[in-house]
Amino acid sequence: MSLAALVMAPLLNNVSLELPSIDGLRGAAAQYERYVPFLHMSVAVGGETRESATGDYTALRLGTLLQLRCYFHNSGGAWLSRLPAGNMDGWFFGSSIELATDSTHDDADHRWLGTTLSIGGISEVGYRIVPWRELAITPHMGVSLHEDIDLRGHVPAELRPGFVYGVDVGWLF
Amino acid sequence: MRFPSLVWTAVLAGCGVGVTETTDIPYDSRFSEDVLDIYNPHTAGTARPAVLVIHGGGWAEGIYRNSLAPQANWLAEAGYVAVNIEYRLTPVASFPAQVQDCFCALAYMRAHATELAIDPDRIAGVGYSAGGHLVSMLATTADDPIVAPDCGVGPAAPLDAVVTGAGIEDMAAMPQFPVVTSFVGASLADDPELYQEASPLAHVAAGDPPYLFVSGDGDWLVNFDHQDKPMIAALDAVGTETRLLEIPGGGHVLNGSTDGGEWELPLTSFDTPPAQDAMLDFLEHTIGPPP
Repeated sequence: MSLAALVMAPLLNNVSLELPSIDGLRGAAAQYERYVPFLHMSVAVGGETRESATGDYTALRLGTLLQLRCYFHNSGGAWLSRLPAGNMDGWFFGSSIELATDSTHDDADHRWLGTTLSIGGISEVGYRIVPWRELAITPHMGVSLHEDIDLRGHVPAELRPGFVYGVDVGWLF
Repeated sequence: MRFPSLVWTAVLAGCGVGVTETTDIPYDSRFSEDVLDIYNPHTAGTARPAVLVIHGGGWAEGIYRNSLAPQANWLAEAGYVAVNIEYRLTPVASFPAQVQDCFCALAYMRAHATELAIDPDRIAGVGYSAGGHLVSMLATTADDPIVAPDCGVGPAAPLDAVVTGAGIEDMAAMPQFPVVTSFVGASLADDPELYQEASPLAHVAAGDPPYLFVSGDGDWLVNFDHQDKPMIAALDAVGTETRLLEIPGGGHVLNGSTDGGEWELPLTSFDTPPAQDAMLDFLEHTIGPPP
């Protein structure tokens, strides 16, 4: 490893796209992440838009997310990553809160059926690699808990546990 | 260990839920499996539209009615009497036993309508996967002697509306699955007529009740193009009202719902907010709103 690399200041920013969110080309979820090197932590904010139902109905999901991540570093840098130690790569633990709405429209009768507010949290672990230049690839998995609240009050509120997994691709700068 | 059957009643009103759950009621005393749970809103004496809830699991032992208990509960919280049933499963029994059991449960609901506070002329069926197949059979085969109930409740009568999630409509389109072979009791090559007999698609006729199909377009097990799509075409051809709600990326039980941009599981398409909105609206439109 070169001296230049050893003394390189950590990259502080990352913008990324969640690959599962573009599955089917019906939406996207993106994040901006800011690193705080002396804490080995980052804070990320994200947004999501997705067509969540089709057929005789259309549903649109709009969501936002706030996540705190804690990175675990070792002196040699992260495996499969070309960045020196101290960057936001390798193993991390993240906790996030999410807020989203799902609005459903009956296309046959041309009316809105309702909007569901989803409030939830996710705890997850992941591993970020930076295999080329500043390209960051981050698989992650965890558990989630969401409360779905029908804003019209027709559908009872429901607490929904889940298991989440995904991979985001981004660029550090 | 099974609790003595009788019924324990959990009044959940204290938790603010407003639903009384009465469990393990036998609806056909010949078979120990044939029991049902009733989720009743707290308004005794008022005849309500009701929903017969039928679980999936490949018609096989291993997945039971507790898998759809949350759906039964929220249907009751929404004001419907929900009846969540068990039925005989493979390898103990194969077709047509499962369909006969479901007809017997439906007949039980109608025969006990007064005590259950059910309007017997407003009963919908909600089923997922194999349960979707069974509610579809209840809608289309009431006049078929092969699946006629043999539990002494009289002739079968069809459902008044159907909500089928990832339901199997054409057995012959998925003969490679062991659960299908086990359910039908023969291979497709050995008995193609039995596959037709066990398929709702083969029984579609004018006068069938309205359908809501809920499907995930990423369902690799129950393929939309091979199951829902031909069924919708057949129902449309005979003038039956159909609605379709598709969940983009939705799988069979590994739903690709991308909460926060991630895949999430375990979910079925039934568990998504758009499906719940569509389901309640469809029930209000077909069997009427709760009083």
